Amino acid sequence: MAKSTSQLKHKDFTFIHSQGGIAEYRLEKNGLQVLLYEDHSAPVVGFMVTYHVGSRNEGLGYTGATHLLEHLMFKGSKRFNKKKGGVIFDLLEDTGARMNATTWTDRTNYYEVIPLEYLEKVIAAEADRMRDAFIKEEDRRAEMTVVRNELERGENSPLEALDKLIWSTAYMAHPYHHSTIGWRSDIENVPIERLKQFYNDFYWPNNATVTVAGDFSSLYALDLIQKYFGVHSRSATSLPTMYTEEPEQEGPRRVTVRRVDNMQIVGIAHKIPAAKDPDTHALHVLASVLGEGKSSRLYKKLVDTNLCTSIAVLPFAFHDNSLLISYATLNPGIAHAKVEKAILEEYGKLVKNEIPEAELERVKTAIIAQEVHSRDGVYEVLSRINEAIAMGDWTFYVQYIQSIRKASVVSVKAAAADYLREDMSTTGYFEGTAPRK
Amino acid sequence: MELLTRIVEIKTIPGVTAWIAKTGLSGGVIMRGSIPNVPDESNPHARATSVLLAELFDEETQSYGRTELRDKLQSLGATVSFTAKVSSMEFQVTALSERLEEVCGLLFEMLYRPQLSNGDLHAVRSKVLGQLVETKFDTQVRAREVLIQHLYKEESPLYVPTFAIQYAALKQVTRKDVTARHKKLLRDGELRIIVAGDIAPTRVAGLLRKFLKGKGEGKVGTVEAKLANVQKTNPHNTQIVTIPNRASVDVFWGLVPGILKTSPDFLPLVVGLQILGGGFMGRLMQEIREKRGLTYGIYANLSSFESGLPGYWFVWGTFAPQTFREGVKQVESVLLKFVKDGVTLREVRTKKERLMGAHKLSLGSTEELSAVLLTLLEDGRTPDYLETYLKEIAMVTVDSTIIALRKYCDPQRLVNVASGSIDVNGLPLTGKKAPAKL
Repeated sequence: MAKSTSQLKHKDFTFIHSQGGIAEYRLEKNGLQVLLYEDHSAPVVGFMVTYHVGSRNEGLGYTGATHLLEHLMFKGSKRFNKKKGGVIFDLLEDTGARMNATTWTDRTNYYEVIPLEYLEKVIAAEADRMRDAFIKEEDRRAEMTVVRNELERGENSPLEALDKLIWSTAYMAHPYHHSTIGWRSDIENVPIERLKQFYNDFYWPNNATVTVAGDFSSLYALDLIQKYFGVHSRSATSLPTMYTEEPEQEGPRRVTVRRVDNMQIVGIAHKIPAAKDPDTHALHVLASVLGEGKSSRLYKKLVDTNLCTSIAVLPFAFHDNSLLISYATLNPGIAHAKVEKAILEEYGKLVKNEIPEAELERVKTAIIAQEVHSRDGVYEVLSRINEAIAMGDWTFYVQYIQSIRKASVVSVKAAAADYLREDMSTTGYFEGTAPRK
Repeated sequence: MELLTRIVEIKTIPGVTAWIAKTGLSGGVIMRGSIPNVPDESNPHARATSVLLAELFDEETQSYGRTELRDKLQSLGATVSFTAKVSSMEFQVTALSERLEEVCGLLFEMLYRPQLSNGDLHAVRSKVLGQLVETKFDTQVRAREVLIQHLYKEESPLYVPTFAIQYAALKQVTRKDVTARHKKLLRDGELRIIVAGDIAPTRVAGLLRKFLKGKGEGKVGTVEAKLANVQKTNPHNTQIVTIPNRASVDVFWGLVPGILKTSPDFLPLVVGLQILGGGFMGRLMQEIREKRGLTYGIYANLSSFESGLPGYWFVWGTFAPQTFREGVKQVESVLLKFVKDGVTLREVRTKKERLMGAHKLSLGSTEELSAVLLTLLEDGRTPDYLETYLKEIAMVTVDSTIIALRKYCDPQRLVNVASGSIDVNGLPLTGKKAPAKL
């Protein structure tokens, strides 16, 4: 599928290196990182700007700022606004483009998937809003209620309510403590000046990565990127650094959410290292052994025995130390404690014994196959690269399959022993109750 | 369209129609397929039987125990899932290209030779009942269900029974029921398959012949479309489903237009609903979200028009309990104006181009392409329709759009359902804190 992207010489860019068909360049004038991935199997191109800022960069009083700012980025910029023909949605409306933005803990990305003839328009619009977005109070007021309804939608979900509480209990100090959408009172009250400061702190070319993937020519893309992003200087001052570290956890923590519902959920979280840590791939294999698919240990133990209707084991691969969380949704009449005990029993087996080689190979094959399918189409490729950028190393995407292959029964057992420890756990129950009569 | 040159049709296997498409998914293959449901699917017991049968395909087969089967699939890097839809039993497979033959062998073993044991039935029933119970306080599920109950009569295949009836029906299904349904499904229904990915079409054709020869008679048995008497003729009414402790209210409006996908009015209706609520630039998002900040999202779309069924169109959005009444008022004002004043030439042109552009872009992903191709096959079309669709959209006019909207979007006939922490008058349940000023 991918064409090998060989080094191009361009007067404004320095070629850094290439791996897996992706070539990395740096725009010398302002430090913008550029990734190019040519794939001519379909007449589609994707363009994405990833800003290296997420909810980890927020503090009390302005939690949710990254996300609210993301919303304001669609309200117009110096050259692309309603008075001058429209903002980005207006411009691309009739192309059928797939476009949007997302915010998470470590990054904010803006993307468009379009036919090639619109690439220049998209690059121009993204470059314009990088430094010249309006960020106005009247837009903040209007958008605050929109974001608040987005928060309300999430609050309807029992799983989301439990997840939010588990993270905020597992983390006392580090900003992973709060959900990316922010606390309601911060969303409602954050002043526009704080959002403008946030924008001026982080929206710079030297804090961003541009990725182009699909049916395009690299030279053409570099020319356009230089033309539109090259007008910006790098930030005059250093970018703010998030230096708060989570203190070591010294014992298990427990939380409960209780509300009217039929759902009953158990969530067990353990602290795991940052995604760039060498143990990450062994942890991903461990998570799959536990909870990926119907051959997984927790599925057999909990769902096949009708204790639960579903399970999921999620190793969050983030920029900083993160969590591996197992979630189990209980069948009616089953006690939370029983399911918690069953999950911990399986953890105990992994700590005590190496998994059989046959099981390891099966799980690795399944992970690799899943990765193959996750690279289906330009949007999916951009999404995966985006998360690798967020972790701090885009080559994580390219090397993932090879790294998974290297996981061994020894490394998986060691990961279980190192990280599935009670004193690093946070356990949460969602207890659905009957309505009051 | 270059893609059409890469799609191969196979019709030489009795009872099977297959389309094979080579795509850019390096190393991977996606298979999607379906068998039409027998036409008597419009009662809760039949529906429950199909749902449990779909789960049972994933359990023991005549050759493999459950664990052995699942381990084999995992070792091949494959996933297989089954879904019981109103008009068909559908399956989806992801596999690695190099292991396709083995995966096909397992897939057709699961499809044609499931064990359907009492033990497996008990296990899957317990899981499905548990999943049903979980939805009881889900505001979106409840609102949509009540909407459909007010749009369709009970004898319609699209009707969704109450929670209690669904629960009771699932409990009553026996091994004899699932066995009989399986036998009839596989014997009578034509198997329709899409195979797309990193494959050689001749190799795939050979595999299908190897595994599917002599499998079924292939009578095509789609659910008959019954246009007459499928809609309850209620005047405009509003239903409230109160669920406490919910921060957001889900609201639906809906109407059954009484046409099929093949109607000349269908695509004009599609274009019209795009103008009303297709994405960020739809009128609803612009008026309700952008101008008034009342919602995170509000959209219009069509549903359940698969395979000759008389589906419905709907509007769906969310509001806080405190802004629910204002939100409904504003939405209904937009709907009224939309039908009364019609649409403009510019709007129709823009949305047509959007639909055509989105269609072309969607074909760049194997996952989306395989879904589109299966729908075409189920609709009785040929792969050429990937191109014909663009021409048909291009032919939609302002006049045909306005006519369709006036015929099928009468605001006075809309059913409106809301589910969340509001009382019968649409006011927030007491105890909820009011939000900051708008």
